[in-house]
Amino acid sequence: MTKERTPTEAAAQPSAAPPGHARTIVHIDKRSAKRIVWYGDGFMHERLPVGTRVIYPPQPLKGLPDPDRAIRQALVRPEGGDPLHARLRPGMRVTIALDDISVPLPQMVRPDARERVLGILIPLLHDHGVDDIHLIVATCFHRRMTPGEIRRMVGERVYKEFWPDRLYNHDGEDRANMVSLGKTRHGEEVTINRRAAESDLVIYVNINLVPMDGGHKSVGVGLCGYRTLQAHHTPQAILDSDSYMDPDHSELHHSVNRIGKVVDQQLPVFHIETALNNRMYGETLSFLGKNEDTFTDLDRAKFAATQATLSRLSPALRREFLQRVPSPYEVIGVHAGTTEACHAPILDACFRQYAVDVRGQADILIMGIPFISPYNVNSTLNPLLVQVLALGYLHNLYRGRPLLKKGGTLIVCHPLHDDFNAEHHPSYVEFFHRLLPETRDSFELQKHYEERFATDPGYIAMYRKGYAYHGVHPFYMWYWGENGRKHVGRVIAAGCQQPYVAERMGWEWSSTLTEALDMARESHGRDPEITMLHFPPLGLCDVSA
Amino acid sequence: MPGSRDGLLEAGRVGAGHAPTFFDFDGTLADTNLVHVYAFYARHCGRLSSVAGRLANLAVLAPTFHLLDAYHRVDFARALFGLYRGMSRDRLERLSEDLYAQVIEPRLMTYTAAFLETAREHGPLVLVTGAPDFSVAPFVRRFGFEGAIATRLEFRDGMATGRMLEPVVFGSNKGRLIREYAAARGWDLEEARAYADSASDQAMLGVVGRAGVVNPTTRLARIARDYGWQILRLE
Repeated sequence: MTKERTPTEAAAQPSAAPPGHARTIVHIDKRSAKRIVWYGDGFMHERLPVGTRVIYPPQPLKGLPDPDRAIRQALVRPEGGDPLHARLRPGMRVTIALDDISVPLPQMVRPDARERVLGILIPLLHDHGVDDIHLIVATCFHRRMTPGEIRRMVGERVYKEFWPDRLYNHDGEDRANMVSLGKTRHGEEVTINRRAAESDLVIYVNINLVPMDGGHKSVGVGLCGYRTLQAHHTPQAILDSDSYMDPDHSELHHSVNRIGKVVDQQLPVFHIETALNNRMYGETLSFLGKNEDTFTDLDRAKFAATQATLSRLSPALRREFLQRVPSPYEVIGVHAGTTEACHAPILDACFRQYAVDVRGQADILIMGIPFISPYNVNSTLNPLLVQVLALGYLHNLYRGRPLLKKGGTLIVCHPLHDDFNAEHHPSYVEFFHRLLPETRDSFELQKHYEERFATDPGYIAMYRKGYAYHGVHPFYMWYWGENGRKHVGRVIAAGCQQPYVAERMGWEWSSTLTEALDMARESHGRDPEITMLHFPPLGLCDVSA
Repeated sequence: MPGSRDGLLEAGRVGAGHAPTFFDFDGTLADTNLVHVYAFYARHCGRLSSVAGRLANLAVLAPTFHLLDAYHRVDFARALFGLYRGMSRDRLERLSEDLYAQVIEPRLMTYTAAFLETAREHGPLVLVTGAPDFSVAPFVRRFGFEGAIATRLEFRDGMATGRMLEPVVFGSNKGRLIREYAAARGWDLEEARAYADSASDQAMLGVVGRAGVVNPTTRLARIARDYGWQILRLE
């Protein structure tokens, strides 16, 4: 991935990692402070056993001093291929596809990185006589974004110019507006949005929040339909991924890359990829990213005030409060050009931000589960999403080997309420209450039920004309926990308030974290290696033996 | 696999093209009601004096209809259909295309065509409505419904008497009529779907294997949750 950098790219590079990287791992001793553990839309404040290893995310890298300049330079000096302006001609048909609301998490302080890019890109297109422009939010099978959400993402000017006729959500079930581009050499069907397929140029604007994002996944997944998703959104693809946050070792990505190459062979695609730092918290909540041993009095006061405020709010208001506080993410990298050439340096930037060197796996891993995932922005983190965060995303945030030993015990801190948003996640309700009591076996679920949910007219109507995730989406959430599920010996939901919820997912439960640790010790003896993952903000563990 | 005797696995194997879908009409597929339909016919019933009389009558009775509708839907329908008395079958049928173009089509929900298109891939579509059969005939034809279970008016010598023929297509009758319709065709209702928007359609929703309520009231949404029906929030 290393290559000589042009002066333009050098200007777009973040500063070197600060010394904070060296303090990403802390071992608990007798004098250590209590640790703050995310617990849904609240926190646990726990004294961990002496010897527990706590892994913090790296400190945020410094943002680019002038992101707009970096964007302009990326367009002029792309990675692979001609500059954007050289590809433009008057009267051409251009489709701009955008990542949806699933990134970043939570939403970033305005201007969103996509708004910045569009603010430069669209005038450039107009200057070159390109006026046939459509903007498509590449939702794939995620829920449609609301007009208000889109307006916030693209900014007022773009919204006023394009909404709703030329700025809209992708619809993977609109048969008339999906076209086949053929099959990969592995027989994977490639179907994508017709407007994109029939454009003279497709420009994809992304935010690479985690290393799983971007590259061929942008167009190949973001604008596709069910038959294409069936190629890789499978339990087997996830089982064969080690991990899916490490694209070189991810079967999911191998399949997506094959599909993306078919797209690139048939369509002129120009990517504009951005990477953000992990400055998830602003000044008010910045203590959540710090080592508790280094807390100042002000940090302690802020934590006490936050806890007091949250405890006085109803669950709905707590969610609202937490989700409405935007994150002051900063752009640390912008690259443009052909799919793979432009994605490589962005992946580098991601890993530079997130990677933590960790020596040795854990017998017991403690994870605090926060209020948000890619699939519940402005919504509820239901039990299936807790599951995908724990056994899917956070389990897979590694390179080398999983942070937890094979057969180890995962302690998930979350109250686990039987609480689903009926408008956003209607098929999740049925999946959880009707299918999981039948079987938790992903392959059985795939074989017997997936197609039925995927083709259900009611769920399709809600996806297309409401604000629901596609009917098949809960299956993907379950599959995405598959390699975690097969790797982990026991999952204990600490602080679980509705035990049947944990039991339905095959998990054990306990009232407190201390009780969960006692239960875990039954499997691992008196002196297990205990690790706590102090995420988010996000980090990724490079785990060695 | 444990639990498969409960039928869930069997249901999962149902192939496309074998599952009929029953749709309610007013409020589910179109933002219309029985008054819209009658008002159109009243405006086009012939002589100017007759038009004026019928519309004035409708205006006077509107508050009563509103109360009746809230109190008892069948009584409301009986009272409203009584106003059709004296209209010719020929005129009602001939005007149905204009009714569709002027009243129904502009009021179709934005999701209707897409919803029906997807449902049709699973099997035949059947409309179940308290609206008069002639009023929904163009809609049924245009959207490829296999048939309709709709209210029929009584005619004598080609003129409406103002009475409905039994059975009336409201409330619990909808469930019974769907069962009879399916039995006559050898359909298994466990495989069937039904969608409606009103609490008065519970019987219709209760006889099929898979039901959904469209943009329900709070009360109907609560009922739907109790029965495990889908709750469709659509724009």
